Amino acid sequence: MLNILKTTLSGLLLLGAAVWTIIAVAAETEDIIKYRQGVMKSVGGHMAAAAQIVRGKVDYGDDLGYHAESIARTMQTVESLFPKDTDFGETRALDAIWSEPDKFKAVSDESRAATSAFHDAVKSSDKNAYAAKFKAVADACKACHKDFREKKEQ
Amino acid sequence: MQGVPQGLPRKEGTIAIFPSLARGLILLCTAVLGVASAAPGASLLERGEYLVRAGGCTNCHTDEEGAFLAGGRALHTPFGTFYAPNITPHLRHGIGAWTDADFLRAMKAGLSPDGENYYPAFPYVAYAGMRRQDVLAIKAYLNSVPAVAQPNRPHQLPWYLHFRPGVWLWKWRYLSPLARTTDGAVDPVQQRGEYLVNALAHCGECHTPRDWFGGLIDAQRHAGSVYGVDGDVVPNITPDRKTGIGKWSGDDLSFYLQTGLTPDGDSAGGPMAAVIDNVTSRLTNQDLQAMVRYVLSIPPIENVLQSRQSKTKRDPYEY
Repeated sequence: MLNILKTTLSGLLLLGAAVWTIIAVAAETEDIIKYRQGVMKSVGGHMAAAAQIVRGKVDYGDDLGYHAESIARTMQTVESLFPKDTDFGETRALDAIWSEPDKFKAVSDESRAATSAFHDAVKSSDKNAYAAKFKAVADACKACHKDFREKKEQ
Repeated sequence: MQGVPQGLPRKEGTIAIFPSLARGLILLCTAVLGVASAAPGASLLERGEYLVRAGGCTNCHTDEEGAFLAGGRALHTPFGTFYAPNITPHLRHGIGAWTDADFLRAMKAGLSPDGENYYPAFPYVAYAGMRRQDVLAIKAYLNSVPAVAQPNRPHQLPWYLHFRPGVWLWKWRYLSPLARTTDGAVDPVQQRGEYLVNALAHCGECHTPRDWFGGLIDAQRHAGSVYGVDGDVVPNITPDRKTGIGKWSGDDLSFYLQTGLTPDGDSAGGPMAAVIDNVTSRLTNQDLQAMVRYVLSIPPIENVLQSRQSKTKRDPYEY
């Protein structure tokens, strides 16, 4: 009798622990996704601002270094924004990020290199040089979004 | 119209100003700069290569990891999965044995050399508006690329689409290049843009919604579609301020088509990233500007697009 009670109790405890873990993990996943989207949007904001300056549309050249640095610093650790099992929920991150890690590593490396090169070029303040490097940054964004981000819904 | 196969558009008139204009310009430039013109063969190939890019041929006929123009890119559509064939000059697997007339008929009337109908996943509805000499320049270039012995993959279609003669009916209803390529653009730059957008780059094949039978809905041209390749939502590219790209300046649009960067700092992804890489970023600046001028001259259409099956709509706890 006691054994049956013990078995039932431990079973319930285990079940409870499992449910608690699932809920906690799910919540953590959602938080990571929210954080990731915030970071990506901030990069987009800096890109939009930098584009206006690089294209000569506005005269805020003094701020370009700040935008370039923010973009470059974020991209140094871009993979850390995509821990395993953060592919479900409200995200456009595609499974390919985790199923094709080599390819994802390659585009991440490229975005690291391109954004650093852009930041360096801005520091040298040679207008022609950083315009070309900015184009390379845009290419790096596009290369990753092509294969690893779900197309936008409106 | 000497030697033009049947079923060709009667459209040449509207764009006929161009060749003479372009020729005049080239002659003028050559005269002014005193540049010795290259061998006619070479310039034909260069023109062909440019048109192959502008026509988006490489975008579908080259697999990401495959040989150049040897086919294989899968197009997932609501009508099945299509595989673009090998268009290298390989005699057996490619189109090396085709005559000019065969090629013209394929491009402009959607017929194989054996008289079999092509499915309209091959955008002959758009290519029908192409100038004959442009089609032949493309053929000349295709003949010059390395022949690849890669057999074609058969399309994967639902049973009711296996009956190819049924495509006749489809063509009878939807293949009307006259309606598709003329917007009455009068300005020569805009006209060039119209030709690039509608005949060559065939933007509307994805950006125009389709009806139940897969025909483009003319009244909604370029107003966006929820039946994009791979189930994607394809944005409205008419200059509507609310649902289209009406807030973009001409500069914004040409910058986007060169770099993939939108005015809000986001980057193009998915199929459009490939189109930018393979097609629009390779256009001459003059052609790019013409394309932009035309797109922004399209009458704005308000069209809100709702995704049919988006991952983001999925219940997060559904396994």
